[in-house]
Amino acid sequence: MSSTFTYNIDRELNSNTIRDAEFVRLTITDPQNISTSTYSFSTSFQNETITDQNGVSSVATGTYTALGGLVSISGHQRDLSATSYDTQITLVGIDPNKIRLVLEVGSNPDGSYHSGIKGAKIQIWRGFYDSSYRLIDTPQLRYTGIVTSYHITEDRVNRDDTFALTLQCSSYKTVLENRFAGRHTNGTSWNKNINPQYDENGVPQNPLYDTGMDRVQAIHDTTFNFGLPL
Amino acid sequence: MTVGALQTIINMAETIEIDRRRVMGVQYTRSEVAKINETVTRNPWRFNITVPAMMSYETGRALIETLDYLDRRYPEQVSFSSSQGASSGLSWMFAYQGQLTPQQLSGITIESWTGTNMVLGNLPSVDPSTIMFKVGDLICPAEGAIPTTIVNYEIGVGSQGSIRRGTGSTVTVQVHRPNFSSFSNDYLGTILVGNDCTFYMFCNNMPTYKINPGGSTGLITWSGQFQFYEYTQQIL
Repeated sequence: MSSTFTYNIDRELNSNTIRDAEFVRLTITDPQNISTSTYSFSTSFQNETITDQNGVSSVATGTYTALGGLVSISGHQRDLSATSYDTQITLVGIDPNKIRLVLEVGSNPDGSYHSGIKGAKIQIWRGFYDSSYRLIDTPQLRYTGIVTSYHITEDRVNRDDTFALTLQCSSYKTVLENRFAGRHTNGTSWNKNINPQYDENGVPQNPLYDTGMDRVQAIHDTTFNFGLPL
Repeated sequence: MTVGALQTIINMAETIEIDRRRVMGVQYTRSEVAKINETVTRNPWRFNITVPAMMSYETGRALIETLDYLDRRYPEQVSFSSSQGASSGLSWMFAYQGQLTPQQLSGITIESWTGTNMVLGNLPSVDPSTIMFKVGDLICPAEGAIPTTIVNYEIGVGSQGSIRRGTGSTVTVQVHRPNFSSFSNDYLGTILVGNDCTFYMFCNNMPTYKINPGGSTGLITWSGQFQFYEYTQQIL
């Protein structure tokens, strides 16, 4: 995984003019068919095919459709350590007749709906261009997360009517923070899925059974001065 | 020749304001070093056109009907060449400035166009000092109405001014915007130059019209400027 900019990108960043574009890939999983659909678009002026060397694989990730200014991506937080933050992606200029495609993206063949775009994986790369508008090396992966919600807004002023689709995205770290898992400090939880095979005296005979937490319940909610000198 | 509605507006123009500004932002560091961030775009042409109250309702009725139909939706080709419907008084705007004849120009082909660098081949056998193009000349692939201007600007050196034939088999020119085709073979082949280039535009800001007193000969006045915006979908 490359975590630094290439020499050519560094050189361009050190100049006083920076030309850049964001490349977004949305992977929507249909839980019924366990199949994925990928949508790729960018803020660039032209369609680009990029090779993802930073995150997923070294194969071309397909063509990123140039939507130019029709795509807006909110600011990204940059920290030295891994932090969780949210971002949002806005697609504007959508033909009102196409809005239903967004709403129907979670439809199943039987007419029922699944979460669709909500929960879809989102990845954002940033690419840099040289002074001749040629893409420099491989764009850098800078965000991986999931779409937590979306909303569609209509802005109608007199007879100017525009639609915007906004995707609220949370980084993977937020997703992990919201996930609770683990074991309780009691004998039952500690030996989940392990049969104790008690003998007639109530002593577990299974060698895999760990008795380390069996007596914890006895001292539950009691004050005990651990480490007190005798 | 049928003259389009947008072409008629250009022909009637009192003023034409050309807006080709790019999208960029300037920020300054604490040490007052300017950092410029440019969003890469197709850098479309925008013409802001002022039309005077010069047309009576009876002569302009068909025009306003067509403009109402086009609205902000449909593009049309517009030109500055009198042979393509433009007023003869406009031909100076994008006139070719080089020294090649139309026959010599018609043989030149685009060999490659990557980014803003356009490589021209099949060059005519003329004196190496012959000026092929001057900065500001319009050049466009014959297969797509995406006129670009020749820039040939080098930072620290300045504008090259004139591009001469030289002795090589190809000549590279720097144009004002990149090739935005998705396919490497697009926009190659023969070229159009100067007034032969056409613009594919729609009216981003279509003013409404007012019919003034005077019956059928009353003059039409417009509520504001027409803004023509280049339609930069891939045209092939």
